[in-house]
Amino acid sequence: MIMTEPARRKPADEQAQGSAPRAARRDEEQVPAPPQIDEMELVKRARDGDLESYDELVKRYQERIYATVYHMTSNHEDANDLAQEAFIKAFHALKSFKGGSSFYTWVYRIAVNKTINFLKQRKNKAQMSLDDLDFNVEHNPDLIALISDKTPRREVNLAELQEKLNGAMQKLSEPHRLVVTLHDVQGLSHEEIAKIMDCNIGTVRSRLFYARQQLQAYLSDYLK
Amino acid sequence: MSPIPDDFEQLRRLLALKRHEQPPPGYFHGFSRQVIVRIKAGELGDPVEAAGWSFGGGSLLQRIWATLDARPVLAGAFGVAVCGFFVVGALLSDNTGTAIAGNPPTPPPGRIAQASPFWEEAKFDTEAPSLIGVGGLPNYQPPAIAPTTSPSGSLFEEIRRAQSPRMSPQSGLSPQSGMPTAVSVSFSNP
Repeated sequence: MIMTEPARRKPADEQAQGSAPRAARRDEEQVPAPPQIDEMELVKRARDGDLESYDELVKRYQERIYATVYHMTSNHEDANDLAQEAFIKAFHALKSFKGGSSFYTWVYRIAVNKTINFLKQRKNKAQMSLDDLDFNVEHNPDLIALISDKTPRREVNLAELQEKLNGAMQKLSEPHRLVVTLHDVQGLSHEEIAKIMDCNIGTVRSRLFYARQQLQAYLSDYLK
Repeated sequence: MSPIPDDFEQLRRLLALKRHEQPPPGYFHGFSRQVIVRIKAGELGDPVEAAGWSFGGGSLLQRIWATLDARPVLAGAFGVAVCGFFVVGALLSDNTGTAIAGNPPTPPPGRIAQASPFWEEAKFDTEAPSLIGVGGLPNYQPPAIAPTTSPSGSLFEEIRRAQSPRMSPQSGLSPQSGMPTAVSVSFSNP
């Protein structure tokens, strides 16, 4: 996912988390970032009821949380609701946050659990409402190479490809979809994913391998 | 079977497409504000939620539901109690209905002699200003109620008779309260 304006102002934070999308890093402008308040300090203030501090925390992670939920649900409205609910739940549960992990991992875990519960309930009535592709996708060399070989009508097939890709993702089980989303789409490390999913790294690796195999089979027409 | 690292390279490139999927422009400008507004709304007390009657996290109803969900026996007992309540209610109402049908109330004989058809007494009501007609429905015509021959001992007739001497036919006002009669009914006279 490409980073939008508010996040571009926080390159230091993105790098510290080690999970900024590659495309976003490429587009980063060299704007001096305002001094960042320590995450734990913000958490402490928010725990004492300071909503401005919590607002700052939400702004820091909103895009990544939204993106994760969106890639899991393939539905903008659902992603919007779930991401907001995750932040609200996190705020109310701040007192139980001991600081054993980073706030970022903790809120991620809340969002992921919420999303998985939601998907279990939704099960048979999944509906895709895909977010639009941004302008930069036209200039992505990997995708140009991937698509232009097959058809001259690239724009039409880009949308079709997006739909196929999301359809294939939806066929995966929730844990497998989550691993692919966090690793291959959002660029999180195996260690971070293991923390978020509360499992060991070996499980993450095996799930990732299986999920990729499945996706490759579903998308074989586009991967020749 | 161990995969060669580049086995999934094409797939990873394809998955990179998903990074370009974006919410509507400006979406994130209002996101945190919405979260804070919702938190404030929850804190300041959506009265239902504050009282614990909503289905939000940890509310009373949710806890009751969780208890029933966890103990099927309790849920069954609760269901039986609710069914019993309805059955008893139905039986009681049935008995009352039978009693009314079997023994219609008989008015005092003197009143029967004085009684006249209620539509004749109600004629003046058609002259009274209709609150409905004056308001937003100028073309509204109240439904004509065809008079029916009601038994002399009907409860409705008793009420009409009790009310009619207190009504002022000319003004459509109640002489006791001075308030206009709110409902006007036109009766088609056969």
